[in-house]
Amino acid sequence: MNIELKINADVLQIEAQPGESLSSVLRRNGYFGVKHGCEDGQCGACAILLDGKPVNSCLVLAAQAEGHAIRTIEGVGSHPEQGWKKTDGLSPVQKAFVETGAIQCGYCTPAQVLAATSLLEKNIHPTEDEIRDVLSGVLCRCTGYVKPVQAVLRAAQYLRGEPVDEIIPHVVTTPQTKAFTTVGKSEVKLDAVKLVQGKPAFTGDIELRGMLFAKVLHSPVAHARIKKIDTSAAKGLPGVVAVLTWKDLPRVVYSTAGQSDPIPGPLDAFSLDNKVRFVGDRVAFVAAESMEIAEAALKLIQVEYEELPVILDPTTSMQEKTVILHDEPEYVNFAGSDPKKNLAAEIRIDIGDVEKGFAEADYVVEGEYSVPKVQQAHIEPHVTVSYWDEDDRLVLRTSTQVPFHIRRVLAPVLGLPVKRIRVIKPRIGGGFGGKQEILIEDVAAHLTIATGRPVYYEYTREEEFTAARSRHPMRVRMKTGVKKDGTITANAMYALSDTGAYGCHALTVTGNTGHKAMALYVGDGKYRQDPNIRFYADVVYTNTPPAGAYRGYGVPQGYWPVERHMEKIARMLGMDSIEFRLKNTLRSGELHPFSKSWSEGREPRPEIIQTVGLADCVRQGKAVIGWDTKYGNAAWHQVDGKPYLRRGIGIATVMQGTAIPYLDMGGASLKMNDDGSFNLLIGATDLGTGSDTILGQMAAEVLGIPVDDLIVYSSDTDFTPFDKGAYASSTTYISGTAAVHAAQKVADRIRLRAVDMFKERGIGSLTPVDIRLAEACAIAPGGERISFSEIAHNALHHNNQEQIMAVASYYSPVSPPPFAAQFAEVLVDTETGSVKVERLVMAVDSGVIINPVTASGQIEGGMTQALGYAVNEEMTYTAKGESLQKNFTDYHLFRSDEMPQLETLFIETFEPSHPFGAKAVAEIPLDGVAPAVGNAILDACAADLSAIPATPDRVWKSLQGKE
Amino acid sequence: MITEYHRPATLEAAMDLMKGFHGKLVPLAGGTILKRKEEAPFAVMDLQDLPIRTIEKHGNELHIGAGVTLQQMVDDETVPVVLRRACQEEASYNLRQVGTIGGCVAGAGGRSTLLGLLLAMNARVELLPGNEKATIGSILPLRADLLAGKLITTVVIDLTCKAAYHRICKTPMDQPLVGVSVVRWSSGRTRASVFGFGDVPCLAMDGPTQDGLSNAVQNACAGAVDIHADAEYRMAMAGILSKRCLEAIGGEA
Repeated sequence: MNIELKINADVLQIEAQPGESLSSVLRRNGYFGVKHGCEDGQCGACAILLDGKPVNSCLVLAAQAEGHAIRTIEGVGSHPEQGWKKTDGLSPVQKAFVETGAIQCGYCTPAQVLAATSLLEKNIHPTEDEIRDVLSGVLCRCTGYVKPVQAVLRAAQYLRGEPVDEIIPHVVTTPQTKAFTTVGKSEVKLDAVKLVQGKPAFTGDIELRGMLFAKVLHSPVAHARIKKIDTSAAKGLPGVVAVLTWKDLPRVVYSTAGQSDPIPGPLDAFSLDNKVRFVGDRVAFVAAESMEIAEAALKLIQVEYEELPVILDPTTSMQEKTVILHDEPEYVNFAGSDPKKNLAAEIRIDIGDVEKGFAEADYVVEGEYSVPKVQQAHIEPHVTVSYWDEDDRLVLRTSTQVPFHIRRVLAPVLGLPVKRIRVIKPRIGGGFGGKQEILIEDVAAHLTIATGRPVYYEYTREEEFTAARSRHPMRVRMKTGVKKDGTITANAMYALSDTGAYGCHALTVTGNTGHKAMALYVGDGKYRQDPNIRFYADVVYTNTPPAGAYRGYGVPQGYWPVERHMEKIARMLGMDSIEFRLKNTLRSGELHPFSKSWSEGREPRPEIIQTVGLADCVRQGKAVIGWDTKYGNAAWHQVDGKPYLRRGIGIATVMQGTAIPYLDMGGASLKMNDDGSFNLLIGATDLGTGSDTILGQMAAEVLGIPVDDLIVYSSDTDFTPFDKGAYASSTTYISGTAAVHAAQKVADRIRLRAVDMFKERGIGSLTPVDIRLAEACAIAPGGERISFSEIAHNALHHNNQEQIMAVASYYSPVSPPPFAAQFAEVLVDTETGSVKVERLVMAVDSGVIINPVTASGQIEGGMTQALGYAVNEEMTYTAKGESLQKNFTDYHLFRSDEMPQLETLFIETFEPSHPFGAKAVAEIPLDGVAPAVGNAILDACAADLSAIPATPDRVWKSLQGKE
Repeated sequence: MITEYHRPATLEAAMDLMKGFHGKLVPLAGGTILKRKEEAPFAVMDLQDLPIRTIEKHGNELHIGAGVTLQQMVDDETVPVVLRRACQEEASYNLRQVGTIGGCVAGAGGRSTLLGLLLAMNARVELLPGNEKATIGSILPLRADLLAGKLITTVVIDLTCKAAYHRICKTPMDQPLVGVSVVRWSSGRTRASVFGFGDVPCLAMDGPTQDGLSNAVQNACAGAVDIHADAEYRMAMAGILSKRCLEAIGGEA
């Protein structure tokens, strides 16, 4: 049918199918600010304004929109600088979103901006509650909604003509940072202006001539051999261009984990196999002229399965004579993996003499705990576009955290040398570890090889839940020896970790459960020097969707048992739980207890921890949350008139890591342009965190330029240096140091040339060390200046011509841990078990904070994900292994209108191993929220949970003694 | 799969379309519940131009056009506060802009707070063709069959009752694990519904007094097991929630 749509200032005649959604029509016509995040209107990423009201365009038929005014983000504001053409610039809402740091990945930003615009067009005096209500229709997995709400309040101030406040995150600084001009400042994210305009910056925002659409036939059974597969009917469907099964592809075993070489885990996956191992596993690939045809073709593929026994319980998986998931002869072991035992990895770490430690204890306290499988739930699904370029090189434009690993790992899978593959990472709509996986790139690539045509493949939300990765669920046993005075004499953990059907990240995720969570408590007195720590783990296969990397990378799984256990021990001893913790935790100058024993399957090397700000974090965090006036105060725990409600307060202390020592490497290249600007090319992968900006800030600090003078381009295997990718909390530390080193080399060249130029101007006898770089100038001791533009012109055009540029790379011998104290306040309904988390406070030592606004955004977003882990998120399965959560209705994400108060404090230390004293910030907020909430629930009502999420029925059963 | 789209301008045109249509014709209100992935071809009749989008007070009744959006209800001060709150908690802001009360009656599931409250309030609907009137309670058990070929034009609320609901959710705005609505009239008549599970909310009680309320709502949860909670928990909670509802409407708990 032909319809007429009024879109922004345009009136378009459009041919649409009667059932075609408005979102489809808009994207088809180039309005890429309309995003795809789900198919049932729950995420709101596709929101537009219809007659001024925000509606989710995936739920509106295009035909329904006829006769209405459609406003997309493309109709709001514009870039303030467009050459000779004058523009009005960004709208007040867009400007406020940019200034407040409300944009992380930017995928939901257009929808949030439109919703906010609709509110402020009606009311320029909105309350915070009204703002949160209006933003409730747009899910954001990055920000925790703190800064988007601030942005709308600020936009309202603009519209009222009022002055706006300076944005000042809470940072307790160190003296060493006083000399910095750019580092430590809340610079605006370099990609914010394009993201706030909804520019086509993401993987899916592209149209290529002749592009095909891919779909995957997923297994309906949890464990089976494919006896027969008949694709003839599917191939015969008009519009179908290719159907691939295991018979069509070379059988190359690999790991889908995006990690450095050698992959620290078993090789146990194939692009397509003759066996399926979970409901959702791959059976066949289809490429067709449209998504609808590809979907129709899937239904025509006839598959005969020989069903095999199904293992869903990890304990069953380890039993003798159990069914084997991986009986393929190509399986490649790594370390302790043993497919005959369904064992993807085995870890046995003994530090000191644990049994002696138990013998020396006055009490030995044991406990069992469990943590669920949860989803990363980035709003942008996995999406890849593949095509042959004009040199017949395969290009993969993909939403990934690991572009260089994709190129390396897929080369043999595709039968191409590495040099004939190019991987480009555009902006990413969130990753959180889910995109540290080579999950769908091979699908598109195989189909491009088969058809010679560009192929677009994007997961649906259901595929995200059934065929992507997740956080490993674990069952954990703790056993701790402790003396009456609170000294820990030995601490042991056993983790049974469920990796699902494949062993991607099996060893390393579970290894980190012990490496980080069991490292914090070394004991006191003589045990400080020689702690007794044991960490054993078995990582087993089951017929469930594979687990993988998820922000925190095994550490949140460890801190739920460790911090719940420590709370119980402190209470048993009658000690103040904070005093007990700090008595036994690591201190500056001490050896990381695991550093001599384990390093992700590689050779361990001893590491002294230089900076530990944990005690300060506890002190400052306690002050902010008002711990001393609440903890132990019976009156505070009660609610007037509602005796069934009880307040509680809890704490967890945590540590993470910063990069993987002797392994993670990042590179940077820096080039000077005619006008004194610079191109910074980095392999590092900005997945919405702001790492492009952070690395730019560090380079700018060295060069003495504003960040605006850097054009940062990242993550393109053809054009940027190598980088391991965005994981392991390494980008600021590793890639940042590489950028600093490249900038230092460039600065040296600038100084040398400046000496010559000063000499020509009669200012002689200078050496490079005399030259100071600041304000985009080389400055002589007498104050004389030569601008970078002059220096660049001199270098490129006038004298001893050279390109001033440098390349540097960095890997670290250490992994300095960040530390944090996380606090929670809860309100528990003791009759129903309902838990309302009212406040979360996190005081964190992440070293020097390079950009306080982006860093606090990381903390706020991380705490919000951790909040879901604590109270409501969980992936469960039927007895046949079918997923019970396939959408955002059954798997609820926190919305803006139900958030607790979030507060972040940065307690800076100066980490000497980084040029600017930085440590990691992005993962640690995931670690302590759940145990802090669990401890707060215990404080409120004596419900002593061993498992999360703390759902009402679980808390109620605990109170009834039934958990 | 939607194969045809119609947008009648008047109720008469809508009736003519429904009368003469061969095949499946589904009224399309906000579209938030419509399952467009349904395999069999079907046509939709867009209701947006029909005069069913106003809220009017008629004596002790509130006549709410079926096309009234949830957000209109949230914003309209003639709507009882308890109903406005239920609309607000029913869906996020964006969904409330298009989701309608008629769509809720026709398609909402057992976890719907709003539908649970309407059921307890003994709300009735007016239908075309035939100007039929039916209570929501009479429709829900066989909703698909009873509404086939019919169009809800109005939802009528009795304003003489006192209503309250309480629900338990994993997060404040998640869909409920279990909820109870209790409504009482000055005569003492008391109705209660239970929601949070199943295909539709369940009428637990309709009696001349509130006697037996706790048992009734607990019984209504027997067997209510799904991925969100078990029956033991729901039964225990229903009793507690019904007590709180009674307290809220001034009854004797």
